[in-house]
Amino acid sequence: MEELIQELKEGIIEVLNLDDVTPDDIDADAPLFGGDLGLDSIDALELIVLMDKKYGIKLKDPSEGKKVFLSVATMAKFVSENRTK
Amino acid sequence: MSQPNMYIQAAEQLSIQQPLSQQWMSEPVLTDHLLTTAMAPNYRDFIDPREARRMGGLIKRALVTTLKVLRDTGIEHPDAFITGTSIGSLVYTERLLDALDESEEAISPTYFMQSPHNTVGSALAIFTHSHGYNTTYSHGACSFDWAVMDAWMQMRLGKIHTALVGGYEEMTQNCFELLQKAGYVGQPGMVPCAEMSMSMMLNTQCSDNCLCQLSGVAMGNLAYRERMRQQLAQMLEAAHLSTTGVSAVMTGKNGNPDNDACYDGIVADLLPDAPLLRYKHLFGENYTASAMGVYAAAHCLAQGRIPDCLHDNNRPARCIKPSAILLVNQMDQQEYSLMLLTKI
Repeated sequence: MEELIQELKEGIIEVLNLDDVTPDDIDADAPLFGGDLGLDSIDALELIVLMDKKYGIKLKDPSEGKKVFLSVATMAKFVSENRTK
Repeated sequence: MSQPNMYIQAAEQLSIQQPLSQQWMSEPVLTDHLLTTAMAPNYRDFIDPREARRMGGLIKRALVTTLKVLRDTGIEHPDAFITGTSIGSLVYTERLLDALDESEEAISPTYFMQSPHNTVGSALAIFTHSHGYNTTYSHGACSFDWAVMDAWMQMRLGKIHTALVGGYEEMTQNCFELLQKAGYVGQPGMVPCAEMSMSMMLNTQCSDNCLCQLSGVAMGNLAYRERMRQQLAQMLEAAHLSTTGVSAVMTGKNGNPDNDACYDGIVADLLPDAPLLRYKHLFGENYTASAMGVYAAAHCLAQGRIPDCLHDNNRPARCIKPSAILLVNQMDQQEYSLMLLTKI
């Protein structure tokens, strides 16, 4: 799981162009939205694209997305349980 | 009713040359590369990296030249933002098309949002919280010229008094290769194909820091040469100038024999004895390159000198102290623009 968390942090930094953020700056249990990263709804869409492209997971239910993107740790748990690639 | 005068209050560039600088007048950067990217400024001096993270290169460069002009003029919210860009955020457009080619279900919203041409002008207004008139012209090689014409007409009608007018273009390797095949860039002897961003503030009020006066703008089609002569005559009359009062003609010669011959024909027809200037060997060729001609001419008039690097060596006449510069822009021997800039 630690490896997946690190991979997700790196993926988030890359797709959201968080140039001045390192994986160590992201607390895996901290809220992704409404926290220090300053992410917004467009970023949520980018993360949905990331889940699809990298892990083959299609998120279609918005309420499901809220729970999945709570933190990097919740993302990692969801990915590990639902990934198709 | 008397018409208002219009002035170029400030003009800034990002291009092959040193960023946000007039160093090109004394130490021009010359390159023999076929395709050249713009020299990057220190973006952090202007934009918080988190605010810029979704912006493509074109928007970031446009924002930097715009913010510099707004700072220099002290005008926070111009009455209008008028943008000229022929191909817009090309890098993001290509990425969007590549993603569509892969799968239509997983498209990055960022690339999608920034692909439309008018995203540049919109981004400038959103970032500066300016809610006035905002329009983008994507009209090939006259995109910037039409943006100036829009500002010119609205100022004459009294609808606006200040306008941030810009020309912005970026280039990718893919697009360059296509344009090269079409003979538009990358041919032997041609100037480099290049990216650029130029923002300028037009103002109906003259102030101490204004660079020059924008004394005339005209557009047309080269098929109607007599109309072009009439437009120049009207422009000179309105500026109280004779043909001998034009210090120099600045053309968009780019090393393409057909293109350059067209300019030679126009100048021979309009002002056969005037010294000739060129700028694309310094700033490169792209669809909005005419903006760099206006930028260069405005700074020459402000400084009261024309650097030797701008002179077209095909004509022996030299201009030392310019008082009026006529800019001629055309491409494919079809649409053209004439702009007259005069010393204040």
